[in-house]
Amino acid sequence: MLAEMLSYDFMQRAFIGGIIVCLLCSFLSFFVVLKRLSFIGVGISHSALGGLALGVMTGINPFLSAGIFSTLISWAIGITSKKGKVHEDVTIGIFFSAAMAFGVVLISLSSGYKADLFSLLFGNILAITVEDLWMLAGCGLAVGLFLFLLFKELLAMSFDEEIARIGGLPVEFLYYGLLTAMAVTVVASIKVVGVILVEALLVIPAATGLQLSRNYRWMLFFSLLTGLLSVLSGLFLSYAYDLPSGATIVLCAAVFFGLAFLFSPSKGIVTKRFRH
Amino acid sequence: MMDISTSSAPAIELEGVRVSYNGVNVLENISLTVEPGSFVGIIGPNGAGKTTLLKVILGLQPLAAGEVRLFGLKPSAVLKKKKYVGYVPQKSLLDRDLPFSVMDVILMGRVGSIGPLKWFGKKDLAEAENNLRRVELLDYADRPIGELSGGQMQRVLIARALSCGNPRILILDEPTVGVDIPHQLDFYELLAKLQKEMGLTILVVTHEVAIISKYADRMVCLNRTMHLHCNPAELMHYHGHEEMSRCEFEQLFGTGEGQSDAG
Repeated sequence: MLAEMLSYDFMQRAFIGGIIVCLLCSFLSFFVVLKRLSFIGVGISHSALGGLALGVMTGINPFLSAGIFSTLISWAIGITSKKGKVHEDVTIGIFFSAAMAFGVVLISLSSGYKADLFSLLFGNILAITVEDLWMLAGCGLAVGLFLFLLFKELLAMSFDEEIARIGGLPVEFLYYGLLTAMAVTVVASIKVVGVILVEALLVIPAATGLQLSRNYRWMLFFSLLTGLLSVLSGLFLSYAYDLPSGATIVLCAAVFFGLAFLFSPSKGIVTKRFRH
Repeated sequence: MMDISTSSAPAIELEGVRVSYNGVNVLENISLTVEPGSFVGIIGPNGAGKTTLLKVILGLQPLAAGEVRLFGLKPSAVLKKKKYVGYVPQKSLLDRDLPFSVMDVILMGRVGSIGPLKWFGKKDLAEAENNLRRVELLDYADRPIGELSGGQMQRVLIARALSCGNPRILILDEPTVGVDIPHQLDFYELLAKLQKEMGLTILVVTHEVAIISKYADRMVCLNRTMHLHCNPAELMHYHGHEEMSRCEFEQLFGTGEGQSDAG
């Protein structure tokens, strides 16, 4: 069945796109989990809908407008939560629901686009075009390079921001760079998993990695592995049983996390019980 | 590069420093000279501006007036280039569940001195091991930080501060909060040893007057402005030894009208 599945052009594109997105999200999730940005991730991903709708209304490329919109929202969340008197969780609660409501209203005004709302929310990996793949590759390269070249700086900032600042690192640049990378990744992932489900890929891989390891290098490795296995198993299952692909990928990731949570050699709750 | 070991510039020099938040002066008229190799204790009530003073010296706090120099240089230049200053925060602030080993934590303190696009090299590892040896934790290099005791973690944070690049000044902000007396004594013995061995200038903010005055060469009493800058014996003399060990700071310095310490 695998051979048959891979003989279709659209499945090949789905696999390539899915693998890029999952590896990218897994790499980023490493920092999201270390720096506890997961709720900011929710804010950024949901607000992407507003940007998409804006693009559809104004005739700009929706992915471009979503990218810009999400980046701005991510900075706004960052600024208000760092400088303002409002707690971060409250700010995010306001921003993401407002941006999403904005998107829904705009979409309802533009006739003929409603049918696609579902695929924006939950992804439509089988509709990935060659152009989408190029866009994905470009975003992947940009974000991947940022994370790779500044790895030790981002790691130091995620581990202890105060010490990073005293060490002379450009903490603000790194922080907002990370938020921007999240916004770009979210938008690049829309076709694969959609704005609602992308958050799962920004958290679950690294959360699984953290369960399996007490060394950040292995955490990163298991994070990438979880992402890769999730997209491969998710796509295969969705093809075999005719399930929605984005949701199936996310469910696979969640299952991997559950297994790690229960059976991790060092931290699993079942493993611990057997040891005593 | 100026050779600071032969330079006669004081390690830390503050002149008429004023800091305000929203028009309210948090620090006023602070002038202070700290000679290289001395051990300074900073005491004062909550909200006295102790943490703000440390931020000023670290180069993280804009001044409303006055000047600060570290070995004759601007703190911002020291922060970005010279890497003279190691900092030990309150230990409770770090997330011990993060997947980092003792060695990782120390290397994280070194990132700023390595420069972009390079990974940690042999020199960095050697320096980190050196500093782990100084705090007597070399055997713990590969331990996850989650497995350390509170006292060990604190020594790791010192080793991290010493790995800042070119350590000449060590700044500690209430390092012994929640630590019992015997462990506090061990901790200060270690600081005194480092002061001698490395010729470090050490600055400690603390509420433990009795213990710090045993180790410090100079004491600074702070409450928005500087009340005393003296040696510990004078401090005892000034307030009376018994009073010092019994009284709250509010009673000693008048009511410290409360800003929060967080600023």
